Amino acid sequence: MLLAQGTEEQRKYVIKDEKALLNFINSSGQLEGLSLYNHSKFTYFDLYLDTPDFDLYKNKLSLRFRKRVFNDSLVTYGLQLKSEMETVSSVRMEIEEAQLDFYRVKTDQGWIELPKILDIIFSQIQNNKIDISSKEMQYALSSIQKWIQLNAESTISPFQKIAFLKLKGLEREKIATIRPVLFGSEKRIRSHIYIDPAKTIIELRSMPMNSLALSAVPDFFKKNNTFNWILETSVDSAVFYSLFKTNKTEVEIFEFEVENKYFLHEKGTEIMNLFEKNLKSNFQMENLMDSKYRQSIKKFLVP
Amino acid sequence: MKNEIKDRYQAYLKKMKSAVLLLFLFVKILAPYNSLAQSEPLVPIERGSLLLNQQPQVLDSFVNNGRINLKYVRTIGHFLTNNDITVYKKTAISGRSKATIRHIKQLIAKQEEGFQENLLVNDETREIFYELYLFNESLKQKSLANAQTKMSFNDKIKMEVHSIKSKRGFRYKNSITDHEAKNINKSNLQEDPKDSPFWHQSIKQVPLDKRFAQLARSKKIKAKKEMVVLFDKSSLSGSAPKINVLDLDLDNKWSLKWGDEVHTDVVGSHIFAALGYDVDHPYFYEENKLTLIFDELKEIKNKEELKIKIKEIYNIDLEPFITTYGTVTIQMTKELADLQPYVGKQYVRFKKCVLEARPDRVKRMGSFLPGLLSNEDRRELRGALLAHQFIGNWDTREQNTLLTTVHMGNYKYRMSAVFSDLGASFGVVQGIFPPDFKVGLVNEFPWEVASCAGGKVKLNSSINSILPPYQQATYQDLLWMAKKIGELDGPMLRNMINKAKWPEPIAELYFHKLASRRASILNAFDLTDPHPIPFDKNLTIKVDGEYVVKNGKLLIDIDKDKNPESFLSKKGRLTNYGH
Repeated sequence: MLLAQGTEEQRKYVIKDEKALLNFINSSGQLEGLSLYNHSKFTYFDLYLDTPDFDLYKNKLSLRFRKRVFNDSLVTYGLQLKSEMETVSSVRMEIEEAQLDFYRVKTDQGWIELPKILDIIFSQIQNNKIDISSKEMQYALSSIQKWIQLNAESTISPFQKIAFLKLKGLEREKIATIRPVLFGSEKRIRSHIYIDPAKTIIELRSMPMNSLALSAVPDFFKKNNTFNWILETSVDSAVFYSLFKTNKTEVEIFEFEVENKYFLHEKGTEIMNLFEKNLKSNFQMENLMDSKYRQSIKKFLVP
Repeated sequence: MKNEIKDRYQAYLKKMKSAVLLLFLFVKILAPYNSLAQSEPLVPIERGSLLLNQQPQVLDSFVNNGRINLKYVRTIGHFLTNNDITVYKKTAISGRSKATIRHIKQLIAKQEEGFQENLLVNDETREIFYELYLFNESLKQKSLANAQTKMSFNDKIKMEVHSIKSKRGFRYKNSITDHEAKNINKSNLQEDPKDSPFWHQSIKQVPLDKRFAQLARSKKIKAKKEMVVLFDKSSLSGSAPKINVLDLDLDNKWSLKWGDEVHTDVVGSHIFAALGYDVDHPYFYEENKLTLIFDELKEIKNKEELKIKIKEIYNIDLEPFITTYGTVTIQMTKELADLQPYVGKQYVRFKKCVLEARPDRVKRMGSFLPGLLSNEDRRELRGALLAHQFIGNWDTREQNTLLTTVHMGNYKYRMSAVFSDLGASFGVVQGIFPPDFKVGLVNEFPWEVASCAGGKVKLNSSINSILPPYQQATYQDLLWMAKKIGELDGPMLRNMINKAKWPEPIAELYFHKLASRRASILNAFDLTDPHPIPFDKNLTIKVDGEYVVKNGKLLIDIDKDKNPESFLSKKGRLTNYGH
């Protein structure tokens, strides 16, 4: 199987025994010849978007602005369109407008960079003061909506993709009606899953070294060049707030994700299977297919 | 008398050897391989302006009632950035890189804002129109060119016609054309063009012969004295044998080439860079200075398979170019630390080769469209005809021009037009029965390239494609370039020739020939030489008592074993270099 550009092979799990899993991760443990190295803590801030009739949700898509904070320092912004998983091991489409710094919104106060508008929204979470009806929040939300209206037919990759897919309810003119529906944040503990030739089983020791551009290789593997990077995992703990009328005010999600990072994807999938088998037996995990957006909307829309 | 000249020349050569030795020590100790010391601050290269005095009509589509025609801008933007648009005129679209897409999106975002502001079209918006149009047409050109894998019969005939025509047709009377009278200030006909993606003026901080290195640094090209590269994939383009290889960082790529262009491409590119143009970045590697590593997971896994593939694609036997091969050992890693991760892998080394950079910072699209968007009116492109003549470049086809996006860091980009593949130069012969082609034959590189008779300047080097700017070139354009060539002095010329690492007598002969060609250009245009470079058309060089060069002619095929392509034999790439 070849992974096309704009796709990722990912699996998600519901965690039954959170404590055992966190212990395993914090201790950088080992599972059947696979080593784990817990390397970073990320914080993500998300603003999910949809049409007034939730046509993205209905078409099994999610669209979000995401602010990433890496280890409390580096910050990036992106606009991501993702498909839902069709099966527990399927590949998800992911289209990202990865550079938002040069997009600006015209406001009463002049042209303002899109990330600055997003920060107004995300600051409510950072300051733990959620007030959707506040003047600043309403200003930021309407500015975002305005930017979408004006750029729905421009060269923004997720909008281009939605138009290309020609899905019901997502005709070209409907893209301009997309507006913010949820926002929230996510704490993410990320770990590398790798093969340490000194601590592995014979079957895994002979696997060819992963071959990636140096810029894509994490520092940990630059320092330990005999370690073979295969998978990437994250423990995600997220909370989302609704921007539309609903009985619930917030939704909490706790899940575990595994992503294939190996250059020979089929071989990486085999390792994912092996890893999954061990996860299920050690931490009572179950496969999960719904994205965080889908899980949240399902919960918010329950009468 | 003859002996006296010979003795004087021997003394001169001895002095030159000492000077070269001193220079070599300086280069070895003080200067890095890229020859522009890395510690020196990098002088940034700006994009410059694309605006012409008269806006080409094709750009009118970008304007609607004096304001931005956003619908048209978006149509072009989608074509350039939407990866779901996969076909143009029934051919697959190729060449959209992430960096180019990001760059185009930045340009579109500015137009979107201008539209929202209801701005009247101004020079800033026009710059973007030019750029979008060029990228758009270049992507189309590349897609169509990629679909045509073999040269058509018509193209071959056209090449022959242009070769013959150019040999006879380049004659220029010292006059001012109607176009020039209309468009250029008569009081300053020799004014330099503005800096543009096509050409840049020289700057004090960077000597002309170091402009190649300055360009390389701006593109983050890091050519080491000894290189280890990884096999990536075979190449199907061109007629000279080559493969695509990866730098050890896996981010940057290179094209590894063998054959008769390994010296010429290097000097040609240095000279074009010195004259203000952006170029490819080829680096010559001497015997065993480059190690090619194979990966068992790739299409070609060892030296034998490489030989078979090169034979299959180019019909050339690579064996004479190979020195050693086998398995990388621990002993080898002690001599070259870069080899450490590859112990146990297959490798091969060569007698000589050239490594041409494909840096991650530079994304290539199609041609720079010399015949579109009034590019034929640009003095810098018209004047390039004389630069081609100076180095005797025969292959001037549009496909050897490139439009690129250069990432300047921090997600800032600039468009740059590149003169690519300048290796079919410095003495070119073509065989008809059997068809053949050979470059870098010093004896076939005439001592003079320009002359003046009957009030007309005549150029004598043939080219295979008289592109629109060359067709439109005027006396004034060539006079302008002649002055640029005149700015190259002796040490600069020698430095650039040294980069090619020809055997010493050949390098010396080329130095004298280039100095002579330069003088012929300056004489033909009646220019006073600002830096006269002495040359000797009867150059004679003896090595170990034997004439190697006599009366300006190479007599002996120097180090035939180390130079399998041969410097004398006219058997070229289509006849396997006579092997």
